[in-house]
Amino acid sequence: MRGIFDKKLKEERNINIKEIENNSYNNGYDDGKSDGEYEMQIEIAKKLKKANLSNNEIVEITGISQEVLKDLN
Amino acid sequence: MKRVVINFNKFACSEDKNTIVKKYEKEYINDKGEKEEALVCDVFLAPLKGVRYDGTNKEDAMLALLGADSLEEMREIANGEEVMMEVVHQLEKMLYDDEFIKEYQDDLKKQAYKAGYDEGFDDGCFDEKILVCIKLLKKKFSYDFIKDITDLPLVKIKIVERDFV
Repeated sequence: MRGIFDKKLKEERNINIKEIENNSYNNGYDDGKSDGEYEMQIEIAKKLKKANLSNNEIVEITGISQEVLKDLN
Repeated sequence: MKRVVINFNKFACSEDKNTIVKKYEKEYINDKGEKEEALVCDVFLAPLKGVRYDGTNKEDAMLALLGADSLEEMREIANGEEVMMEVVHQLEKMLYDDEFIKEYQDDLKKQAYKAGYDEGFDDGCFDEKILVCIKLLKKKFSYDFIKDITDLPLVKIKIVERDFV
């Protein structure tokens, strides 16, 4: 029934639900990807720190900044 | 997408008084004459024993409304039946209810954004692991060390090494 409703919205109100959903999905994907990358950089940096790698190596390997690295536990 | 067929009280039931659900796969010929697989769920509802939905009664028609492809088809199925026509009428009304449509869109946007975010987050984490894996391999760290740091399985690390290093 949702399919019928969406189809009619497009035909009669020119509201393209599929397009709206796709745009929101893509925005969410981009935001999620960037957050996921950052989270993982931090997680890996912590592990590398525990493994006694130098700060310069950690920055080079993870891509995080020296400032962020300083604040890590 | 696999077709799902749900049969209510269509199969003869033995002495068992309980509700029974049987699930099985069945091949059938679709409208285009092609073979397709369907998941069939035979549902026997003991309290409704004797009530049989076989395509000839009002309840069946009401269920068929859910499978219609257009409001026109829904109107045909409803065939003037008051309750079903009300469903069609309400759907038509909703099309011009701006407040409802705004809420509907907002709700779908939120759901789609969250679905995208979750998938993007997982992909982002994975991509980052691969990137770090490549850098560690180039720096000649051991497989065990890379496995501990990235949580990637050894087999994946070796694939990355083969393809990217």
